[in-house]
Amino acid sequence: MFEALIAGLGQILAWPAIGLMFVGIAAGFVVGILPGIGGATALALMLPFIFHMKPPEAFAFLLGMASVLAMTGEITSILFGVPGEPVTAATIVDGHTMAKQGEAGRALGAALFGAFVGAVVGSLSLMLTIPIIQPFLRSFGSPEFLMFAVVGIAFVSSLTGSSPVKGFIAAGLGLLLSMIGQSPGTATLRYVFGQLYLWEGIRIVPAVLGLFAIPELVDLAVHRTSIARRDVGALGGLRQGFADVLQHRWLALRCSVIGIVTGVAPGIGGNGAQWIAYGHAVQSADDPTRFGRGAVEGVIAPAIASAGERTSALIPTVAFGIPGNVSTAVLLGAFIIQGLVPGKDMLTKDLAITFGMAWTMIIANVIAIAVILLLAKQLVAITRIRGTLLVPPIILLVFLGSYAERNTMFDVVVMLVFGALGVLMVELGWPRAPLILGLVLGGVIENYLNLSVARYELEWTLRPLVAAMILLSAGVALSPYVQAARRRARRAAT
Amino acid sequence: MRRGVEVAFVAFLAVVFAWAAWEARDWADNVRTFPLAVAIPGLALALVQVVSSARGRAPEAPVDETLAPDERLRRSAQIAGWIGGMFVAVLLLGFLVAVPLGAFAYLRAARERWLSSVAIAVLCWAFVYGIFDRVLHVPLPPGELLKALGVS
Repeated sequence: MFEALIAGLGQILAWPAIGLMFVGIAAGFVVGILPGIGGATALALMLPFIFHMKPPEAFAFLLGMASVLAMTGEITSILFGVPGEPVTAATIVDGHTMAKQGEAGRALGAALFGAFVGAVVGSLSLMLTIPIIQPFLRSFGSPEFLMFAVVGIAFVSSLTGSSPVKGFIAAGLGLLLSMIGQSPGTATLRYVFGQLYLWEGIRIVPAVLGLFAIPELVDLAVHRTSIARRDVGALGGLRQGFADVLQHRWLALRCSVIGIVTGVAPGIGGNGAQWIAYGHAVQSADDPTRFGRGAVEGVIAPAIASAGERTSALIPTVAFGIPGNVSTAVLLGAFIIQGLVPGKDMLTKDLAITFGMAWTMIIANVIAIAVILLLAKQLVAITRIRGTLLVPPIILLVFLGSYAERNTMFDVVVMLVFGALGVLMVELGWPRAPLILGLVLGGVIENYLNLSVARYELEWTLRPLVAAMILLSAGVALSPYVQAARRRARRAAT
Repeated sequence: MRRGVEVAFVAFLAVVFAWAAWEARDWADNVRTFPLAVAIPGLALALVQVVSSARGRAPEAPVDETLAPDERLRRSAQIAGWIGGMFVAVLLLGFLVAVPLGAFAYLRAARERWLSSVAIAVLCWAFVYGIFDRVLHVPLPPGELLKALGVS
């Protein structure tokens, strides 16, 4: 275990991984500070670049970028009241108010140092969880791993979006699309319409790019605006913000725990984590009326929780293949591209890579905070770039990214089809994460299903953990309806 | 209108699930187990949703306080046209010509300044040529029109 911890650090500090991490961090700065391009989209846009990389290099690059995305997103949330990332929205309430009161620097310092603390605690939780999970995983067979994937889909389908039924239909569509091509083990062709191109199935990259990047591209082109509508003013007081985090260290610790718990529980995501932490900060404050009027705790709490959530979301992703949020669902695609299977392997033979991920997030956050301290004013200038100027480079990335994996224009067509589907789903309020999760996990689920049936026939469903997870999946699927029924009953009673 | 679109969308998905189950009926057991396990519940859920969408409230439009619905639709159609046009341009002219040309045309149509339009078009071309062609050695398609004309 200790050797893997050191080996993981060595892999990240070796060339070219460290260089690629810097490239990822630089990309994260730019993308994070620009509104509209969310973390999942940014990761999707970068997937085509990892084909020629080894796993430690690929994850140094991707996680280096992901680590700083939301940290820089705090800048626009505080300075302009526009969240650079959806997970930094809660910071606006008090952070932007502080900025308007001339305390922009202090709010930024508190948010950035808070995000740093959350990320480090989240990464450490990933490292410390591994020795606990490892013995359990060794005793699991294919039925348990099958059910982990099913539970993951159940969580993401029922908890993202407004309707669980829509989530499950989207997941079903993703699973169905994952079956296109040759069936595993038998090479029987399924749903290929006589097209040679479809024999190898639908690739993850064009699907992810279409589903996530095209709707955001359309949104950017439709609105055409830059976000910097106000003057930034002075940015002094960063150090005061750092001191605020230390002064509120117990709040920081509790919000770190909120971040870790929401990260490990699939489906809640950073959006939930930040607001839960904000609510906790209000509830635990001596004078709750200060919140919304520029309370620094209202900046610290969501910043820490969403950073903790981002890093700890890797725990279920790595250990069970269950993504904790939409970005880690896209990251699962990177696992597949790199030939890595989440689960047992990631905690045994590929353990150094897993530790390398945790190291990357710690190192990337240290670098990010140093750079922000040095370049805060210059970074703010990026927000003045007009939306129209960004459209051509994004079209370029989307087209080339789809084409470059297999060097075929058919993949570009697939990207466009998924793009149209993505726009339609966004317009109708359908969640996209379950679809991509179904597409990513479909092959794994079918493999484990075939193995389970071949080895245990239907008795695999009677194994204790499997039965418990079947019940859990059913409970998760039904919980929104139970909650709605309770709300109706409560309303009728009053 | 939005309700009609959603009903049509879910009905289409129901047809897809039904067709997937029907196609799987003659396959060997180990080939059809998974498709049937997904398609049959998928069909049931889609039918439930068709009824629910037809009877329930229309899905809410994404909140947009800055643009009138007609203008939003017009701009959406415009960018869809640009994306489609870019695809045709890449097919006919190849990435190396279509990318800077498309970028320049889009920026000028959006009334960006000549200088920034040219600069971004050149940067886009440099990115394609430098990273994808020279560094990653991705074989970029020459473009059907240019091939037919014997230019590349």
